[in-house]
Amino acid sequence: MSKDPECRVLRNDSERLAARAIVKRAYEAQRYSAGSRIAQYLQGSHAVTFGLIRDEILYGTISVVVDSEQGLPMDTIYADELSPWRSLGEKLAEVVQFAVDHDVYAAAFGTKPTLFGAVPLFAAALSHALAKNIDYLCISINPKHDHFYNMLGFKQIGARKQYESVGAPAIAYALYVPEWDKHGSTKGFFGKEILKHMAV
Amino acid sequence: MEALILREEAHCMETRDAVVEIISQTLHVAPAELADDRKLVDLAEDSIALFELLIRFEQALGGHIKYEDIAHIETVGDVIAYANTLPADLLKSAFNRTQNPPL
Repeated sequence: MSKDPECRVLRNDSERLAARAIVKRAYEAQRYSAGSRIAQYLQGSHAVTFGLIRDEILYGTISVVVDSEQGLPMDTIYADELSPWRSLGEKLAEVVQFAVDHDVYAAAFGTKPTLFGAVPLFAAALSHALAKNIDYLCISINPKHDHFYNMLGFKQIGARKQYESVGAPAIAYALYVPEWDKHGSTKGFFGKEILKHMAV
Repeated sequence: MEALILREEAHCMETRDAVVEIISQTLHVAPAELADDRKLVDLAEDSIALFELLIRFEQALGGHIKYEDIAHIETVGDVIAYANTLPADLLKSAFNRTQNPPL
């Protein structure tokens, strides 16, 4: 009998490689280059990669990189925007490499994931940020998703720029983690779902 | 009796138009392509787009929808069928609100 999907930290290089393949396919499907610049940030002890797994099939992933001497992936184009916060001693982290492969899931289980199928990944990233006492969870998003992140309580911290290595536009956003649940939109079913998965 | 049926049909058409408009605006898909049997996961470019669609419906309907009711919705037709179970004036005002979605 098929198990329910689980969201957990990926344990070894093989699993992390499979996660990178999911991200690569997702980027390429949108005609972007996945590049390799983020890989160096994901290999250290400051990063964690989560996977969405059902019956040992990995079909979704998200990673969180905690700020360190190495910096964050988004420093490539947003170092000036992050600098004042670092000067104030704020603890930063960045969410990167979020992707869900609906086709992998469909091939294995005959149907695509439910509409809320990727929520556990968001919950895992947020739980990790809370556990690490992160002040600001940063993310470099594609501008087409700005409405969604606004709805979740993220605030824009950097202007639209171009990620040359990816070939895509970006906008920097950040969520004030200690008060993530104070935003109105998180009172709705999406926020409740995140809370439900954070409790697991 | 006939007038009642016609009013019901008119309500269903309005509901369909409103739902299709919200999906079209959010997923950037032309209304003509939103046949009832189209799956939302196929129409959305990625998972974020799906989340945004769900939250837009929630915002538009002012918290009147429940997770349990929509968690297993798959197609455009499923959304329309669900919306048809809601009071007529609710979806109408919701549609008007989505012209200027709150941030």
